Amino acid sequence: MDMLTYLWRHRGGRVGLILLTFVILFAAFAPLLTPYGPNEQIRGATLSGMSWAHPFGTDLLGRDIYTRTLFGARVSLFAGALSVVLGAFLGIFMGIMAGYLGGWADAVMMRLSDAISAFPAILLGAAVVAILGPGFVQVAIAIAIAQSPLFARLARALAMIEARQEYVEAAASMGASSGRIMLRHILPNAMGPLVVQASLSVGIAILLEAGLSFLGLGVQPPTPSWGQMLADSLRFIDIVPAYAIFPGLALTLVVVGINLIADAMRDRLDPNHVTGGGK
Amino acid sequence: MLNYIATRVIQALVVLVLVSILVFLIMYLVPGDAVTVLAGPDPTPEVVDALRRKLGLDQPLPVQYVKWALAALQGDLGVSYIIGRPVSELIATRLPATLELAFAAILIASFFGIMVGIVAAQRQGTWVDGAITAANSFVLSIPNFWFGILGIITFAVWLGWLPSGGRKLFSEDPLNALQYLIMPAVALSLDSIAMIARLVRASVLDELSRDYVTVARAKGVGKNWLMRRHIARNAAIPVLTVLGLRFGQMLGGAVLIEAVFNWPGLGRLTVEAIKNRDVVLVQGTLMYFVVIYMAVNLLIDLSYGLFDPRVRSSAGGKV
Repeated sequence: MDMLTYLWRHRGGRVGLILLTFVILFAAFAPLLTPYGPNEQIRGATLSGMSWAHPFGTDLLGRDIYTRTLFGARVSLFAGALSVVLGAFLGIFMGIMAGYLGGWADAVMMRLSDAISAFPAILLGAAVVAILGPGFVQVAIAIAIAQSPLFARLARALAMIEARQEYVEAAASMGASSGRIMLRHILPNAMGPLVVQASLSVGIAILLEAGLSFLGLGVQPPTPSWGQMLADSLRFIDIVPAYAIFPGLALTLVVVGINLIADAMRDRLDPNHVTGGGK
Repeated sequence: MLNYIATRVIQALVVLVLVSILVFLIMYLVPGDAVTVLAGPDPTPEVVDALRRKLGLDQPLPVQYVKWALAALQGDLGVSYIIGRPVSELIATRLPATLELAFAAILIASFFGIMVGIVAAQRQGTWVDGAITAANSFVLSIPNFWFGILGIITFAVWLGWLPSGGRKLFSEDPLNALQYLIMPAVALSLDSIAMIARLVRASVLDELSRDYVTVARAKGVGKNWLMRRHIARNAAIPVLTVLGLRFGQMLGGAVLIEAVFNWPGLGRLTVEAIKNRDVVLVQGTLMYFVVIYMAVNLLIDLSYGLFDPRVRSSAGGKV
């Protein structure tokens, strides 16, 4: 049974799939779903409340909040996906090296990963952004670094289990190099729990991106992002409360959807919960 | 046990040195160093050279690191060259606000988390349990800063019951101070409540299925007595671990909640420092967070023996 069919039959997984599909469709077809552009300033519509023309109201510059919420989904989804791909790549590299090679490689990689995870994630992200400068890719890199220890620890634990298996010994005795064994044999067998960890991490990554943007350290204006919109909304909270409600609701729905899918995937791929310290 | 303690402490020290090197290097990675800030616009090369010498930036990197680390060990984290005050002093002025918020949030999280978890476990399989489990998953996905904003809309804007942000001192007007504290503390505790409730439910169910419970019930031991005397004690260990870890994280400043509620804690101090490129202050606060977080982690690891005699006896010594 393939993954999509499985998710559809899983109660939570189905709700997650529906939510996430909706958000992806909204993000992809955003320009068709609104008459306005995300940065278009509409004359005479500054901080208007909810109306038929502007269902979520408008902001200080007269931009339609519904439109910006739609376009904000693009930033969130892309940032979430990109940072998890980068973080998984980095962490899995560190973890498999540590777990399979052992000794010094293990000590160095694991202490480095301990050092990274000793920082509060959001502040580590903020510090990395301070070094690299603000921007979409920089934020994704910052989040990836903050998330890499989770993958490193899990990949290490899995690599250590796999390294003791007979097939690895067989491959080694046939002259396969360490690199080949790690890449062609250990990695594919350790993939299940790593995919689950990746799916759990997407939700956290999206929240981190929103948090950094909320602090003014994420994607820079005028590109719409939910975190930045929420920060902006605080200034006008007594005039247009709707401004603060919808970007946050969109953010919550995406994260709920992704977490439901991740939980369902865990039930399928990782029945023993081999997670290395993940919650 | 001594061996275990020694290993854990040495490991922590190695990580601490690594972290301090990373934090030290921020100075060289962030574009625009202290000299460009202090020298003002269009400085002459002589002025720049003199400043570099004065700040010790002309020395080799390892020498600079050792000097910086030795000073930090003595509590001297340098002087913020934007604010013009010692970093340790700046941290000390913000610490009470952060401590207050963290204590309040942990108190709320333990009370409600444990209560909800026990209720769910006692009604396992009923609609109450289902509703609690679903609510927990939902709460864990809500960004807590957005929950804080919703709180402001409801209780400050619409109902006018609570102030929308800021902090008042308990020593001046306790009731007023509580009004300022309650919303940020609840918003900060939200995901901890869900996490602890989940954990309590799982640990209580785990304990309920054990033989000693069946035996005790068969011998006629009352349900409440059993819960208080045996189950609660055994289920407490993982809960205390999570509470401790959360507290360590909260002492690191609840960056986003502090930003939402204008709470003058350490998290906001750090974010302001990052935005102002106040490198010395960023280094200082980051070092502080890491030390606190690691110390809490270490204490939790070492305290297992206190809560669980099995750890103590298997290690063959006292804690």
